[in-house]
Amino acid sequence: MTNGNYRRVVMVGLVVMGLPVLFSLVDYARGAEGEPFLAPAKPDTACILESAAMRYTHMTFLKDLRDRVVREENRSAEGDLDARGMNSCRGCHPDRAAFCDRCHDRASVRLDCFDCHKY
Amino acid sequence: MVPSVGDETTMVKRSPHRDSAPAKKPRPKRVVPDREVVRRLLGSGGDAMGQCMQCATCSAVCELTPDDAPFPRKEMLWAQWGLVDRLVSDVDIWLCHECHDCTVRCPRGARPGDVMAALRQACVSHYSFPQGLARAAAAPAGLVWIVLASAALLAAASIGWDATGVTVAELTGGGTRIAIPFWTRFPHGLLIALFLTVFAFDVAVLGLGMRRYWRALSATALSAPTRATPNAWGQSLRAALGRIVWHDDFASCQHEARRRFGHGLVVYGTVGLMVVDLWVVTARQNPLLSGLVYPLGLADPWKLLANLAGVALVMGCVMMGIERLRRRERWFPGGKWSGLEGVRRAPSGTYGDWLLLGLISTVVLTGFVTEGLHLFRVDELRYAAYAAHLVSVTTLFVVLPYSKLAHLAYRTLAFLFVERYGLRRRAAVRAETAPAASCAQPKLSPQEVP
Repeated sequence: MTNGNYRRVVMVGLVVMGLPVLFSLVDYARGAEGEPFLAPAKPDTACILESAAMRYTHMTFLKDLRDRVVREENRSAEGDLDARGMNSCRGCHPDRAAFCDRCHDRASVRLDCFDCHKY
Repeated sequence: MVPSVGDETTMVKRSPHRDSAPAKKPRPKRVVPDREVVRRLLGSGGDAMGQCMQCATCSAVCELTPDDAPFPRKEMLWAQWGLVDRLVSDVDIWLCHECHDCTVRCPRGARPGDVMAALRQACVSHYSFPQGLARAAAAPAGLVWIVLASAALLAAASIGWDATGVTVAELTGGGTRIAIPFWTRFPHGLLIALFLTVFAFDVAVLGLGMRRYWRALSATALSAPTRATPNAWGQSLRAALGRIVWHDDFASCQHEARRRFGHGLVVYGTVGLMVVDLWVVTARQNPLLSGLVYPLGLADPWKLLANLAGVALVMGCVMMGIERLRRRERWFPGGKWSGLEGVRRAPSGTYGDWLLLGLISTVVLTGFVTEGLHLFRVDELRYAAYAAHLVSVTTLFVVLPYSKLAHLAYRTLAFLFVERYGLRRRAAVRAETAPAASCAQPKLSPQEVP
């Protein structure tokens, strides 16, 4: 590789490194919202936690409920189904495609809940 | 400039002539060879340095050496004698880019290129602290302890975080009991705090080492008249960074020509990953950065850059590894050299060389395996791979200031020093004095060949 070619390759590399920064700048200039891909919930409703926490904990809530009701046969927890289970999600986010699927697609996290369950 | 070996103040023994000489002559200083240093050099790549007969072929063929007090001949002698004071205040060891043009041409098989590498390692060890950690980083047995200590550090951080109960409180949101998923053992905030701490330690070790090295360089190299006025700091820094950015010094190498590209891949792959890291670490505070914080989708520009940089890193490591393993056949095709078969070896690198290549590859490969297993939802294995990844990253950070990786600090400092004090490399001087001709030998067409 000649000297000139080497410098060209390095410059291409530096430009490639700058591209994500550029994308971020463009997003910022356009005034893009934090999570523009999530459809808004039903108006005048509040989630059980703020959405930043829900992003990380929603699966844990569902598993916790499953453990109590199914595995520990604690039927008294059934009342939580409406308050904290998937029913509760559906109450404010009726469209699964605009809620679960959109976010999971964007984050490349495979969604396999609905292979067995229905939303 | 560094005083040459034959200089009067370094006579090994007081000679009768000297005793009868007039008293105004400088008092001869007894040279005390450091046998421990010699022993360590012999064990870290310089095993054939005793073969050197000071013919200076190495200094004659080197493209990177300045014409004034050229290397590596003088370093070969200092290494044989164990003149540790000179070796650790010598800027030239960092100007060598280990292209082994000297090793290939050495008539005695003393492998000056490897000796220079061993000297660089000795320099890094000399200026770093604590010395115990430096010794551990220099030998395979020590690596076991460093890996175990890194794992213990991570485990302690994780257990300590658990004990605070912050994660549980966040997860349960008022409930009492919950199954804690694996990622909460190492939330990003904890990892960032941990790695920033280790990184600050690296910066402290390297920074203090560099300060001591710079003082040693200034004390010896500037005692002799060189240039009246040093170049400005800004200009020197720009010139030094230019040499790093373009890898100019690698371009002079004849026998390891592909290392320029391989090394470039590793350097720019690392820079790419650092840029992404910077983004991940600051994402929540940076108003410029919008979008999903984590995990990043495969189509996210930052994720694309991270994957591309990772591939570049692995490619660079593999290229340099292959180059190293194939040295013998490349340098001496068919094994054709006479008389010195036992001596004139072309070894495939020392422990320090392979430690660095191996650690970087391990970090990147465990990262890719974790990513793949995450995408395919292979849960248990994915956590194991992630744990291995975290331990290897910690290990890399811990050995950074004691290993070959410290060259990113010391070589930069050496470049800055020579640019500031105008110690020019031979190729650059030649290009300036003969602007019409290129650095390379003029090519003769077949007709012109006598």
